[in-house]
Amino acid sequence: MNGGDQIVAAVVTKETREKLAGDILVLLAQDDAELQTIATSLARITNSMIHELPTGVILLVRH
Amino acid sequence: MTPGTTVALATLIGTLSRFVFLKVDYRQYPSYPQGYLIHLSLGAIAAFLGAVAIPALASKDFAAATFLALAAQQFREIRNLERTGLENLEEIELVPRGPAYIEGIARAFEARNYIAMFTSLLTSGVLYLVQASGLLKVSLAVFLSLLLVLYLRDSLRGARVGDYAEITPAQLSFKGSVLYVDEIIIMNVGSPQAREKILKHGLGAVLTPRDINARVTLANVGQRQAIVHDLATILGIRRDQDEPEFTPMARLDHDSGKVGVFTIPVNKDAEAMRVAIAHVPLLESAKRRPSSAISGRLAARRSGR
Repeated sequence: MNGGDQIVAAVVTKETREKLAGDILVLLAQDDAELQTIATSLARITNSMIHELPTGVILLVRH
Repeated sequence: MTPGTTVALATLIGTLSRFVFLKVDYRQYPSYPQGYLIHLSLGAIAAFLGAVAIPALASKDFAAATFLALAAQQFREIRNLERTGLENLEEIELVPRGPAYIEGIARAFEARNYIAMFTSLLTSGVLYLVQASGLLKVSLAVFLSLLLVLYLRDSLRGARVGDYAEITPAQLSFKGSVLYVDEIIIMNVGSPQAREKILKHGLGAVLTPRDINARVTLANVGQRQAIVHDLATILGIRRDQDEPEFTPMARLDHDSGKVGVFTIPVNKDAEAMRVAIAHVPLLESAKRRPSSAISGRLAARRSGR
């Protein structure tokens, strides 16, 4: 938590897709179950942590 | 007694005093045999320098005495050596010690070398200056060195977190994806599996500072890192490199000054966690005393803390 934190990607479903904008890698999932599997495997691959915004958007952040 | 015997005896006693401190603080000490040897040898050198000081001065050899100044320079290197060594290891620690803890350990190692030096200085002083029979002088020197070591051992031990804060086990809970220890926010955990595992295996505790000084000291980031590092060392941790969700954390509630601690130990034992936190050393570099300033006392009184 020392300012080196970096957003790796966002994972969304169709409903939460429109709550995102900007220059960021976005992965689209079919449903909530797929959302979780994508987020979990990507977090392991990139050594990052899964965070959930109140809007339902999943962010992967490397701390 | 010849100066040679005096120096030899004083060096021996000084080295022994260094050895006592190697044993006392085993918990802070990374107990590898090489480390023991390194610090014992450096302690012996320090003891020798302390031992020759008084005989050198007495024989008007002032050049020898200036070596003491050189020695102090040398011992600062010990602090550097410990610091760089531990800093290099930080990267492979699952829960790093943090710079404040490392500085504390490095300082302790430097200070212990001075102990070896002072003890041998005292011994050689007694042997050289006291007019008595050989055996009596030696016993007096040993006795005084023992007193010095015992006194320093007590006064250098320093305070523990338990002296500054009351530690109570606390409930872990989630509001949405946010992890709480009682009412203190810890972090956002997005993965439901991780949340489940945290609730199943995790432990929480709340540290309530006992006064205004404790409040400021516990707020120090380095002190909090030291707490979670010791927790992970003593209780173990269910975490691997690629699982940042299970990083132990200590977070501050700035309304009350309380600190919420969260960890996932190998064995879930709240009492063991309480004891482990209570024994974490209070870091010299984290310690603050706002109560020593008039404005600090005033602010504390006005806010009711």
